[in-house]
Amino acid sequence: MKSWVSRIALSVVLVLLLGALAGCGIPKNDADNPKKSDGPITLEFWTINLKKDFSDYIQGLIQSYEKAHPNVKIKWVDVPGQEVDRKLLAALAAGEAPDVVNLDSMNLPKFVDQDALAPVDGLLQPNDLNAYFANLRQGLTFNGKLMAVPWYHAGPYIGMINTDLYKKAGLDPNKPPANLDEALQHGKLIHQKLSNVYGSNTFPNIMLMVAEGLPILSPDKKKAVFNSPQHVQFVQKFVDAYKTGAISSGVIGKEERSLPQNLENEQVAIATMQGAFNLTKIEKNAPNVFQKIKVTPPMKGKAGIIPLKGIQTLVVPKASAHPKEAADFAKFVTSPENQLAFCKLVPIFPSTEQTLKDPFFTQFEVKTKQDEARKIMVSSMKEVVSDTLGIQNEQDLRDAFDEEMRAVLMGKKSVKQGLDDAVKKWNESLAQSQ
Amino acid sequence: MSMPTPTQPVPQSQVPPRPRTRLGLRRFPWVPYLFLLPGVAFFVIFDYIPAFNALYLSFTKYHVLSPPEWVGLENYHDMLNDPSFWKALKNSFAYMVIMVPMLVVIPLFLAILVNQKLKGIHLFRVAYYLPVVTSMVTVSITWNYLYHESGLLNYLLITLGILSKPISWLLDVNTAIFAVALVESWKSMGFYMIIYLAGLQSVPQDLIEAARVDGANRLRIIWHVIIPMLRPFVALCVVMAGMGSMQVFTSVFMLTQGGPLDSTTNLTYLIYDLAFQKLNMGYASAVGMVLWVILLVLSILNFRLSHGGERMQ
Repeated sequence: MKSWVSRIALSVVLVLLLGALAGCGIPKNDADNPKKSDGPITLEFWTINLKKDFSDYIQGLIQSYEKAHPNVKIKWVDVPGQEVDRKLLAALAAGEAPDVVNLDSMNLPKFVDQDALAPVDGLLQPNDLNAYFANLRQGLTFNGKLMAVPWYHAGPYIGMINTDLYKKAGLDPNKPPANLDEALQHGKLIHQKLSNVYGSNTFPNIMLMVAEGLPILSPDKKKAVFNSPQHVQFVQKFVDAYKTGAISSGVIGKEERSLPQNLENEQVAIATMQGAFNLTKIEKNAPNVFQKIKVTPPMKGKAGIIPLKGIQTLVVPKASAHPKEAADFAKFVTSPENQLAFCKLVPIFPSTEQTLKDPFFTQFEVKTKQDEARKIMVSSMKEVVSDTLGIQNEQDLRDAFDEEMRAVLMGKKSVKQGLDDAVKKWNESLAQSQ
Repeated sequence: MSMPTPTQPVPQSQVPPRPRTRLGLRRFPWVPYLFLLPGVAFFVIFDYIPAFNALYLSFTKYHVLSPPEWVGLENYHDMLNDPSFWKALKNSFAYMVIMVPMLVVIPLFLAILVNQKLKGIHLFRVAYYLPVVTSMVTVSITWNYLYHESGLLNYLLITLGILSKPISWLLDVNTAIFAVALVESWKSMGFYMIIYLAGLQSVPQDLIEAARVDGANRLRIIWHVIIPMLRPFVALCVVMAGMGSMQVFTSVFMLTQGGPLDSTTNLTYLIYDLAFQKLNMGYASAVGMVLWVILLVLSILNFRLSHGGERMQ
């Protein structure tokens, strides 16, 4: 036993010694000391999953830019979608920062919180920035600074209903739900008639509260205020809906993309806010269900807005050696002409107003369901509001809110208790970040 | 003892058992250590330095993009007051309580089953071992379908009259941890079966024959001869299953992401969440140290038991 004690003691000493040595190896943040170079400039440009299908397009952009800027070389790196935030983090921590990075807006707050990004409004002229939709810029603005150049996105949400299930439930598929109350009412009737089918996967989250015009934060963003009687009443609708099958039993699952009941397996009849790419997914995975799908306008809350959940952006890390040139390249990639060319290759939506005015978006024949969806999306672009609150630890706080709502739906907490607990967590975090 | 010179004839029986190299181990006794160096270097670089670095980081506030700031025991103090940590610790032990019996008892019977001298028995051995070499991601996706509300498991249980209505196995706080532990155990059973199989094949046949001559039936032979002889293997499996159950991660990540309501979050998943989702590396390292201590205790236990096993041999 004595030998064990001495061995453990020796291990601890070694651990502390090596730990201290290893700590010395952690690279210092060189964000404030960008590398300088006198020769031709090389910009490292990261994209997400574009090499396989859009290599020619991106290479074309790069060649055009290099031709117009002979002193600049672009090194293109394509990164798998789910790894970009981790790879960027590792690159920044290792002091090997790329210059222009394609980042999903949902991943943006993480890097803004770490003070890792250069505000682009300090690098580009106001006229350049005015080319982008103001409502998209607003969602990328943190503490009054625009932290990313908006690029492409999947477009505003659309709604979808399964006409076959609607008819079987005795509902008129030509009268899809126009608002949340109707959607929950339709869902309840559908589940009453068809016991193995639920209404929808609508979950009481922050985004829906915003759409309903319910305040989330105090005007100075220092306090969470979502536990008023109006908020309680709003969440109570979902608790009732959960009990009656108006929303699915699996809606409490954490991974949205793999909820057990969905449109594809016909266990859900209504999707109130869906990305149009889901339409193509259903067509591919469940062609028989696709035949029954009717595309509808997305559900608008009482605030009359359509939240937009995530857009692709281009950011310039603070540690970039050439932030001005990097921002200029980002402006080039996201120019109205280049975005239009990209939109013609794949069903995406642009971030520049001028692109959306092109006949490609305004004058097209509606032949398919995808065309119908596109028409709805173009017309609702002006009602879109970016789904970000612009606070520190936003994703963590939203996750904490969702977790409380899961507990409420499962009956582990009352609505008031769940909201109070979430407000408490938010306020603790908001107080720390001030 | 003096060594014979090369000119003297050496009888075969007097040749020293250790082979001599051209370098001559006696002149260069450090040569064997050179052969150990690559392995040692690998361990130091990829195992020990990161582990010791984690210990250092556990005393710091570190969010990756700025240098670590020394905070002493603050992370450990926060941990003691963090309900998420206590829940994860409790769940880690819950996995152990659920998985260890499954990984110790069932593989033993599987091993006895596949130790029969039957035609095509190798096929069964392969079949039971196949999940071990299958990717945990693939296994999790498959089990996710089985656990689905309208999946095969619910269908069977309802058809057999065991359930009256389907259960959302992975979305119910009462069942989720059992569902995840079952997937983990199912995947690992073949590995433990192989350990037992090796043990079974080392049981002296004359003992079994003697018991049979004394009139013992098959069950008595298993209970009174085979299982006592396998005691060191059982002990090894208990410790290995304990360590394995402490490190469950992929199935939690794939099936539940720690939910519902953190009911499947264990220390490993909590560390991942803190480090790579919340970028709170310092605190994650502190939680990691707790897991390290638990695993260290289990390793010491494993080491002592395996030594015990050697003595029994």
